[in-house]
Amino acid sequence: MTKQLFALLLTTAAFPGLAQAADEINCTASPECATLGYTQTNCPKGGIRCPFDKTKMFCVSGFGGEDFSFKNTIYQYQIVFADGSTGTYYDDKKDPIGIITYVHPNGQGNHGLIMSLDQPPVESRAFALHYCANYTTKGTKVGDWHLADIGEIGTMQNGDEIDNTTQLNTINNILKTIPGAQALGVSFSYYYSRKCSHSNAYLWVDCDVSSLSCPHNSRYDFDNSSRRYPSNYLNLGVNSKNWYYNSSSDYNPAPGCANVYDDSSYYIYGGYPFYYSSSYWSASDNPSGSTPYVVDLYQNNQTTTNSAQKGHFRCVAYL
Amino acid sequence: MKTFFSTLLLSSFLLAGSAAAVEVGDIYYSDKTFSSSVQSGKKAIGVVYWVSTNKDFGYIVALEEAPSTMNVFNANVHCLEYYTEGTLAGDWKLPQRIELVRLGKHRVNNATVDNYAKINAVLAKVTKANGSKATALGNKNYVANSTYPYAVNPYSGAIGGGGGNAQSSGTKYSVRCVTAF
Repeated sequence: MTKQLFALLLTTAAFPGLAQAADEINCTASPECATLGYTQTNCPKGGIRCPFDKTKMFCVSGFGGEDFSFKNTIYQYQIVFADGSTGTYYDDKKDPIGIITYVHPNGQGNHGLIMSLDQPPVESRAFALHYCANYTTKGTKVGDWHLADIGEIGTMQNGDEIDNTTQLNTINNILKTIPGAQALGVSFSYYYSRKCSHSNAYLWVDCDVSSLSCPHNSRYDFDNSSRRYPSNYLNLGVNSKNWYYNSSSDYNPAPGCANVYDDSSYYIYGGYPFYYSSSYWSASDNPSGSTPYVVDLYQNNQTTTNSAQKGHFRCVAYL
Repeated sequence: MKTFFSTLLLSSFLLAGSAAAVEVGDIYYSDKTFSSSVQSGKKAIGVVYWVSTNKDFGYIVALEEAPSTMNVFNANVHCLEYYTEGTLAGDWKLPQRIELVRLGKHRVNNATVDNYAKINAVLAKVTKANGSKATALGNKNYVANSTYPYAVNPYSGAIGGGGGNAQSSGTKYSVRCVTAF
């Protein structure tokens, strides 16, 4: 790579008039740009134009630093450090930048999908795309990262492989060992700024439920078959009996977040509102429409929804 | 002066000679080489359907699919045992979701990538190592290596699935093995 870049720089920068000079001396045909490595027409991260055909480019990630590359054979669930090394355990002498959730299956262990350690607050999908497109860490550059597509976010989901049903749990256990890293799939708050926009918006954390007043001792259905997050996944030190889900079909209090379909609106016993979600934006859209896919890491499902909603997201780098 | 330019151009060729980038739609041969068009005398075994940003690694789909639909358990076994001229059992695999969604039509940030059409156009020109024609991707669900399991229709890009991963599962899907470079 370095040799190739050097050669391109040499021919392009040092001798910008080469094509013209070659024509004048009329001794050789101009080489094809593709042969020289100028195979692209657009380089979002920057590039060098072919001196013989300005429409052809050689893409680079940027000058002033080396491209990130793994320095050793990588394995799933390893911690990735800024220097390109990976390891099973956290090393306080190195800077961790992510976790490998998927190893590219070429048998060499030299490429893989890195999941970032940061869990930004829930946001719109447009924000998530922009955030990840500009995300960077020590050892990586802007452009290395992107919002995970549906396949990539799926590598963080339990059951993404036929013989592996513990991906999410494993990743979260590793994240706990890394100072500053944030777990996947946990979102809870007593308030959010937006109101629920749809009765089926159960995947989302954009409901302002702070003003709701839940009927005390209304029907509780904590063991609702589709939602068991607080007891199964949250370690809040809260006894599950303190949580309940209002499943009354005719309960639809103003401003209206909770009804029978909204099965992730939970309330702490005593009337304090609580909202939980584990849905993640993906960069993928439903091919038959324009709605983006979201993946619920705990529910092990995927769906599409309005991109104006707010959801979790995670940046990844496939390097 | 002529000598100078000739030397310069030659050195550029030599230094950049290893940069041949692999592209989606390239044909993969039993000797582990790639080409953008059919090469006589070589035996095709797959088609490149995804490449990395720097085009230095990617996925390859087999030229044929399993003779019948299978549940995910048997599909996984089929692909682990699948081989071609130039490859061995274990070189291929049942695609994971991350690998399968890229095989067909998909949309990323509202940009459509119609790999279904692109890959089928290449498959239509390619002959397998045994002399028979390559098999086109179909408008049907192909199973992913997953517990649920997930299935993807490469024609529409729709993602569905279900049926579990038990060996006895009666929920069957089409099967296409993949490998990587």
